[in-house]
Amino acid sequence: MAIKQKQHTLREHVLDSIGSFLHKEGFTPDDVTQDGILEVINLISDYHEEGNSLYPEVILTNDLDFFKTIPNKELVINESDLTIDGFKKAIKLCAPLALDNWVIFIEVKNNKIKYGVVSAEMTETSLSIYNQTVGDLKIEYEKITIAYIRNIGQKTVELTGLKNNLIVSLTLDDVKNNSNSDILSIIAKITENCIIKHKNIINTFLTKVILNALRIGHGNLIGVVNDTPEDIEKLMSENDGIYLPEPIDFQNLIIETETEKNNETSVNLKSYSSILKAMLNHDGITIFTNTGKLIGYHLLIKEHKKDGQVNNGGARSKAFLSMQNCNYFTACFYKSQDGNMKFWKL
Amino acid sequence: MSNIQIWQGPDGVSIPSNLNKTDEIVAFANNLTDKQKMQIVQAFKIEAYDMAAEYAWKKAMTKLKETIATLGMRFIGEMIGRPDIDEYSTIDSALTDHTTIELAEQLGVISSTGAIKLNQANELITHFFSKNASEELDNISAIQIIKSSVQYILAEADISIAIEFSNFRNRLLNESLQIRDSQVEQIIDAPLFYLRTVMSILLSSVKNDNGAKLENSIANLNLLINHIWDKLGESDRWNLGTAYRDVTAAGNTIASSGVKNALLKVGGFDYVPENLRSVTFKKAALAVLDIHYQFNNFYNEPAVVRKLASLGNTIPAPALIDCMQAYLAVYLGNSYGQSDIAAILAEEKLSEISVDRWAYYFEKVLNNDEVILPKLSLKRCCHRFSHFLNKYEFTEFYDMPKDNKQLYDALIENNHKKVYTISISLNNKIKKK
Repeated sequence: MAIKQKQHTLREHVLDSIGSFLHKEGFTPDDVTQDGILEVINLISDYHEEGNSLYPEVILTNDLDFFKTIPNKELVINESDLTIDGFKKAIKLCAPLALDNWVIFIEVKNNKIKYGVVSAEMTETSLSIYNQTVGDLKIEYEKITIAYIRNIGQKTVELTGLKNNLIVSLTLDDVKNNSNSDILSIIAKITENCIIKHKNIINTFLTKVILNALRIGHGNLIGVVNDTPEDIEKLMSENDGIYLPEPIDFQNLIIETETEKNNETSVNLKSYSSILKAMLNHDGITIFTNTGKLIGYHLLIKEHKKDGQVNNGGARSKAFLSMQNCNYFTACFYKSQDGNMKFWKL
Repeated sequence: MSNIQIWQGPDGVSIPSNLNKTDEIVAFANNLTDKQKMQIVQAFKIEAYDMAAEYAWKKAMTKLKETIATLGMRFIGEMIGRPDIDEYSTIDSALTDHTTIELAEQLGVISSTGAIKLNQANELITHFFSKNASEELDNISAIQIIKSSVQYILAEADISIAIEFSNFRNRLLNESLQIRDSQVEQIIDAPLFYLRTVMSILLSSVKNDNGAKLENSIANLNLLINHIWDKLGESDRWNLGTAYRDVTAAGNTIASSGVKNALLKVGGFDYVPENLRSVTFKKAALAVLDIHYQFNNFYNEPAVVRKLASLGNTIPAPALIDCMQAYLAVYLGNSYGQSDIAAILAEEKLSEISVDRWAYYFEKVLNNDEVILPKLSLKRCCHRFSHFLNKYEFTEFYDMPKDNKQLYDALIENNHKKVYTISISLNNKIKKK
């Protein structure tokens, strides 16, 4: 008698989870859409275009009408009959366009698939499209369903709907902490002593920029120091790093953009935000004050170890431990190459 | 309660109608020193009527502006749709005399009658001080200007924002109101004029405040919006949509979420501007109206109308009402005529506006148009509008509310008597029940 073989595939498991996710969100379940989403997840979990990594984000909906609730710009690229290949083609055609906060949209409606790219950027400080669709500003619609699909770490994709959330890890490694709560915590420390009136806006802006930078980086370290001459002096005198003679004061840049509302201030903020992304993805620690000032980057910390502490991790993990022990920082953040995140504060 | 207005400015002091001498009238001006009163009387005696009238007028306008400025310049900017005005702007550079009078009425500093009289005085002084005025200011016109300035502004030792307005504004920003609150019931029931002011207070706070004030404004906006949406005019709805876009662009999560919920309640997302292009058009249209109500308007209008026209023929929907108002105001002119060069350009631009957009204007905008309705009570403006509609064959619109249809038909027929009655009645409806 032949032995009955039991087969467990990652594909089947993920398909089941997608089906359950779509059901809870109120999408009309159909096999093509389910398989199509699986293809989307598979593609964006590790997307490359001519050797370059790309991180396209995708909004899937049953009705593009919901874009009316978001001030945005849309570019429709194509419309065709609903097929699994349609999903693949959507990613292939739109991923190279989905840069600088443009996001791919896919509408599945009446057995048709329509796709293109959408942007909600009006100024540098605009709320992200993620925030406006399934984040803090989400609203529930009577007949409209939305799923936001994005890569949040190595081979890890997050599906967020209006009612539930699904993280799909396409590796057999341990599941890492991919939640954004640690990023939000470090940003709250960076803006801790900012002017109350502008804190919310500075927070939102830095969240958008830092999330963007971390997603494309290979691991990061951020340290926050008190904005006092003594604390900054102590850090600078005892550690090698690149300290800016004139710190980049994001609080002032954002207030200026808000007050002046002109092209020059907006472009100014945009330029400094791209340099921030580059610094965050440079080796070493990027240092902020708790008033939103970027004072340095590429800081290589000496080892500070307490008795009995053992750390078998890599260099970044050891540096994170030293940051906690050194008494320079009031808070610090760590993201490993594989997407694992940690936050520490005094 | 239904006939009581929520806040209304005082009707000024009572100056006996038989008084027509300068010294008798300026004697009421408690706000002027004896020396200042004497200067007006002396100027009149040497027949320098323009000097006397201008002196009284400037004093009155300065007083009015100072009073309005106590509310804070950012709020004033919101009230008049000028985001460029902030706490660092000066009241003199921010407000024209015409806007000052409109605001004073809205804030209960002066009554509706006071606003009408002061607007007439403003039109007189604007005309006689213009480069192309062919005659000098006569003594009767001068007395009229001085009398209005004294009666509504200078006679009061201390004019102020209506207490009811200040109290209600404080409540809107400092409390989360309930639907059964008597003041809320009163507002819901109030004419458009008051709803506009309430929306300006709330939107100004949504854009500029934070903490408890912001939360209260959002809660109150969400409380009121369902009940007042149907009464709001098209431009008021665009203002709400624009505020949503502004706070979203500024990254203000709390405000954006609050206004989004309000828009969701009334299905108002069609009023959210898609891009910033409309801001440029709106700004240029506002500049035209500002110039239109100032000294030398006929001389200065061509430059600002050319600037508006140079932005192109495709007027973005959020700026359509402002642009139509600006072009129409210039084309129709005022009781003294129109700027010939600017009017030709305005006519050309108005004729290029599509039939659909004209139909929209007559169906949804004209009945609440505080710029154009007052003009239609003037015979020459009525005649010019009628001539325009017939010349360009905008004569086949049928689907509109009864009042709008009657006014439109009367315009097509050039029936000034009827146009006068309906436009006055519609204009009054904006302010009173």
